Amino acid sequence: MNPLQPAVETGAEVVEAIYAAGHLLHARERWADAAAVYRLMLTASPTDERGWLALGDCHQKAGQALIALEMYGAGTVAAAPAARCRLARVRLLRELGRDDEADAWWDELLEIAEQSDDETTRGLVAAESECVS
Amino acid sequence: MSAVAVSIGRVSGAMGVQAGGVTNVPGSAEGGASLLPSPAEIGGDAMLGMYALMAADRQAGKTSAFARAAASQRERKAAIAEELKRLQEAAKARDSGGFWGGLKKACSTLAKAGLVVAAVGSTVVSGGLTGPLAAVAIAGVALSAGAFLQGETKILQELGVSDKVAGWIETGMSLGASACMVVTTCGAGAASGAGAEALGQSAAAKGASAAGRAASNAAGALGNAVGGGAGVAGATAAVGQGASASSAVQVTARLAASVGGVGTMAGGVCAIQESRYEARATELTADAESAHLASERLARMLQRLLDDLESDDGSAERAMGSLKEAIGIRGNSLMAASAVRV
Repeated sequence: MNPLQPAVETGAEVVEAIYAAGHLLHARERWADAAAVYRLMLTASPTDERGWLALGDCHQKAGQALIALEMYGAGTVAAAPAARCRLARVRLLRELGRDDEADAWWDELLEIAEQSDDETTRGLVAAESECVS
Repeated sequence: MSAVAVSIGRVSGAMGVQAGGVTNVPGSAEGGASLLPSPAEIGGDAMLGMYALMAADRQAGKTSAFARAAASQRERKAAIAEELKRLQEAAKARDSGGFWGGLKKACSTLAKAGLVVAAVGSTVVSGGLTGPLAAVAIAGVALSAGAFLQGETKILQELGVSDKVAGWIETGMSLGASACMVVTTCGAGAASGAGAEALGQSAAAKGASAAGRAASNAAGALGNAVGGGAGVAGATAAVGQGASASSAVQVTARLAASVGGVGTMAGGVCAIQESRYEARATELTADAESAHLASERLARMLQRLLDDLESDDGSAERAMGSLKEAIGIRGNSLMAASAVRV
C-alpha cells in the first residue's frame, strides 16, 4: 500500500497540462477559476508542491489569508519538505503580524535548507535571507 | 507511482526562482522572490508548446507576407485563406490528438466523477485512497472549494477554526501521517524503551506552538514502544480497508482509532517497563490521547466540509469550465496571431 497514492490516476503530462492551464488563469488574475483548476490538479497529484503553492496563492490574492495558510500547510505535509510552501507561509504570517509563528517556520526552513542537497532550495532560502536582512 | 515521482522532480528541479515577480506570486507583497514556478520546459509543457507554435506561425507569416507582396490580389486572398485553413487544422489537430487533447480526455473523465467527490468516490471504487496524505488532498481541496463557495470566515467558523489555531490541516494530518509512518515502519519488531524516550523528548521539545506535530511524534514513539506485530497489523488493516469505506472521512476516522488504539496499548506496555520509564510513559500516553482527540476533531471537520460540498458540485463544473476556457484562449490566440497578419 502506498500512502502517497493519488486520488485519481492520471499521467504526468496531464498533470503538467492542468498546471499550465491554471497558470494561465492565474496570470489573468482569475483567482477562483485558477483555484478550481489547481484543485483538480491536486486531486490527481496531491504530492505536487506547485499545486498547493499556487492554490494557496489564489486564496491569498482573493483575500482569504487563513485559507491560504491552510493550503501552504497542507503542502508541507503532502509534498514535504515543500520549501516553497514553507517560505510562502512565512511571508504570509509576517504579513499577518504573526511574527512568532513566522520565526518558528523560518527556523524550520533554515534547518531544511541546511540539510538539503537541493541547490534550488538552498538558493531560495539564501535569497530570502538576504531580502529580509 | 510515476506521476508522483515526476511531480516531485519538477518541484525540486525545474522550478527556478523567478526574480522580480510582483503581482502574481505568493507572498510577494514584501518584495521577496517569486515562489510560483512557471510551467515546465518545452516538450513537457503545454503553454510553452503553444508559444513555440505561435512563434513558428509568426515566422511563417513573414515568409508568406513577402510572397503576398509579389502576388496578385486574387492570389493573395487565396494564400490567406489557405494559411488560415492550415492554422485551423493545426489547432484542431492539437486539440483532438495532442497534449491538450489528452488533457481534455482526462478532464472529461474526472468531470464525470466530480471534483471533490471524485477523490472520495475513487476510494470507494478502487480502494486506492487509503493513506493519510491522500486525505490531506481531500481536506485541502474541500476546504479550498468551501472557502470560495461560502467565504473564508463562514467556512472557518463552521469548522470551529479561529485565526489563532488555523493550521488544522497540517496539525491534524501530520498526526495521521505519523500514524501511517508507524504503520509502515514498525512492523518488524519492538523498539527499545530508550528509543521511545528519545523520540518522546524530541516531540516534547517541539513546544506548544507545534503541539500537533509534537503529539504525532509522541504517538510515533508510543508505536515504537509497542512494536507489537499485532497492534501494527491491526492498524494496517484499519487503514487498508479503503474499499469498504464509504468516504475518506471513514479512513481518517479509522486512522484516528488506530492512533488511539496504539496509544492505549502503549500505555499498557509502558506500565510494566522499568520504573524509570513510568513517568515518561504516562506523559506519552497523555500525548497520544490528545492526539486521538485532535484526529477525531479533524475527521468531524472533514465530514462537515464534504457534506457541504456534496450538495453543491459547482466546483467541479467551474474547474471544467475554466479548463475549457484556458484551452479556448490558446486556440483564440492562434487565430488572433493569424488575423494580425491578415
